[in-house]
Amino acid sequence: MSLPDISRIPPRTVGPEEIRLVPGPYCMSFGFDLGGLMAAIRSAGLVNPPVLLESGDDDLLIPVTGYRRLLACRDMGWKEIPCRIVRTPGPPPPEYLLLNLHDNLATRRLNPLEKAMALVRLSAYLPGAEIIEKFLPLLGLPPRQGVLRLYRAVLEELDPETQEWVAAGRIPVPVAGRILEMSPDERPVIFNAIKNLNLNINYQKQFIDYIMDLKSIESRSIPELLAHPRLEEISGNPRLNPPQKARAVLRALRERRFPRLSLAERDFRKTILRLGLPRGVRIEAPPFFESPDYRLEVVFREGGDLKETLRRLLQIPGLENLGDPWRSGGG
Amino acid sequence: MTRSWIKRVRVDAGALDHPLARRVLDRLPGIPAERERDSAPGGMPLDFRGPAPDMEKDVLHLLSYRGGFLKPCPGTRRHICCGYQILNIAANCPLDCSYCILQAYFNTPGLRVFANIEEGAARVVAAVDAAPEKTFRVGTGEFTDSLALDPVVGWSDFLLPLFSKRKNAVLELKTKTTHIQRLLASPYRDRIIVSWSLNSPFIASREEHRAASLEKRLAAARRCQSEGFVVGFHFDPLIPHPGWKDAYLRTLDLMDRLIRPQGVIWISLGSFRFMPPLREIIRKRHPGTCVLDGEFVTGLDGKMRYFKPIRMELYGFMREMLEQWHPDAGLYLCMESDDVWQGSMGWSPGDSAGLRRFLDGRVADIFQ
Repeated sequence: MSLPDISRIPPRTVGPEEIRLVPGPYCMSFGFDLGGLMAAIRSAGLVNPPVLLESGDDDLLIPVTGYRRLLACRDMGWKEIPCRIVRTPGPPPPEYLLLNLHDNLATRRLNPLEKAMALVRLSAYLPGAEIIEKFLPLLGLPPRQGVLRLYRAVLEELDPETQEWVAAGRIPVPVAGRILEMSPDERPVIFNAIKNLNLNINYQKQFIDYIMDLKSIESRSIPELLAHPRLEEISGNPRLNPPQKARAVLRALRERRFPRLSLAERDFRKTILRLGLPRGVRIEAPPFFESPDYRLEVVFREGGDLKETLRRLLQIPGLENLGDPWRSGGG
Repeated sequence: MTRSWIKRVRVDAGALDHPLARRVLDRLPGIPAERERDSAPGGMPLDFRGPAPDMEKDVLHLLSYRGGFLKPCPGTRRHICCGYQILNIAANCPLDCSYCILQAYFNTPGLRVFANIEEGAARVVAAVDAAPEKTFRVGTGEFTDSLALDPVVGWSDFLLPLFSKRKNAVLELKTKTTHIQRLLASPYRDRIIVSWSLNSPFIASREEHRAASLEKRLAAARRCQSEGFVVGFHFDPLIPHPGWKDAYLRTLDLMDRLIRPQGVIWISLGSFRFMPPLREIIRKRHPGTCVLDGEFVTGLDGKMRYFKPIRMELYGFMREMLEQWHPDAGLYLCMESDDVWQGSMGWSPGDSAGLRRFLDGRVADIFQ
């Protein structure tokens, strides 16, 4: 496909009522705010005139590029907007889609939904292999079939509110992919939980992992899992601020998902507390107790301090029994 | 059974230079065969982002393998490895166990069978002959099931005579099938071990798709044993599930009824472990699976493993029960740390060299 040379077409003024101002077949704008654009146009004028296509059926012009600029001009009350008009005999060719894509890529980063819109629209004209090899990298995405499938699903299967969060970068595309793996009934439940707990991206991943695992382990639906009394207690606790609630919910889910590990960690913490270690001394368990080696840390300023701390450490009764918590009946 | 699995054959041009490829095609009359250029990778690389792709377990791909045919088991950092040598006969498996690590290991679809394996195996035994002081424990069951495709490919026709003649090697054929016809038809028995992967009836029926039932596996093992083959067993991966102790005991009861323990060279125990990317693949390919339900933590080698006391409980229970069946069944742990060995088996080989010595000793005892 070769792009039409738009620069040769002189702009002419068009009234907003002559334009079909709805997201048309070339539009790749999703989840935008016109405020900044309006301020820029007020300051510098419309530097880059939108391109419109003569549709031929209802006489309204179809935006090829500059959909947001057109909306901004209309909302600012412009009666005449300078535009470039293109005409084509027969059905509009896919070159206009590319024109829009390159026009956008030259001036801004597309958000994930806009990338999905571009890919899905290109799929109507181009074979999948060409889209994967050429256009996924152009959009900054890895050239893999699964990526194309995922973006298509984000556009075609995700509900509008979740799409807005994805477009705004509040839910990353891989997490959206995890949500799409759930049944349509479960998706809003998970989304609302993420929204209400205001989970950051890392927490979203953990939250979904725990929930999906618990769903399998406990054979319960996601609403049933989230209606657990402990989670409801945390959600309704007025003394906890939102980040504290998010952490408490994740901790509760982790304890439910990893009961023996959580118990071992708790037992170990209790044992350390009971020992009453001297000030500046810390004993740490290996990550997940996987290595057999525990770690002792002593903070000191002078050798004399160190000697005294070690002396006190050696006098602690029961220190010799310290080890894997499950060996003493816990875990 | 095998023939009905295969719906299509892909043949690289170079593969047809090897008699094995022609024999395979002769054994699959009526199955559509496509020829490919040697450079063709054979389908798009597997990509698990988005919905699960087709792994083409019904496509047999005949090609020439360009790498080395004998490779040591890669082992894993800070764990004790048995020192097994992998004879690379094929890549991917027609069985479809939900927990299979090959799902994440290979990124090319299709059942890739190496048409030049006869030449490769000849080079391997030459290397074996060149190191008479060393014991080679060689197996074909690492990257595929050793016998699942044997009725079509006929590996046992040429591998058994090659290894049976060597006094410093054994060949272990590891399977979950009952495809022992070619083995039984062969006159070779010496230095050959036929081993079965076993699990609880619950896991076998629910997670080991396309594999034979435990009863059939053990009946095949009994037949091999009665026909003079040395047999082995692998409880790997052990997977705790509700009622797992009773469930594994049911498998041991079956073993007790069908197998003569004196003829068992070894029984390995391993718990389910996997590299983290496998998790998503399993979730997508096997949505109803229970194999991800356990308490997995990141191990010292970066693999996900059951929390240590759970592993020790699994091994300790199996050891106790298996030792009641036979006190000298050659029990060993696959890819475990020294402290887990000590805590669950009551002893440890100390390191990989120690475990190799133990298993080489079993070989020496059984194949005197």
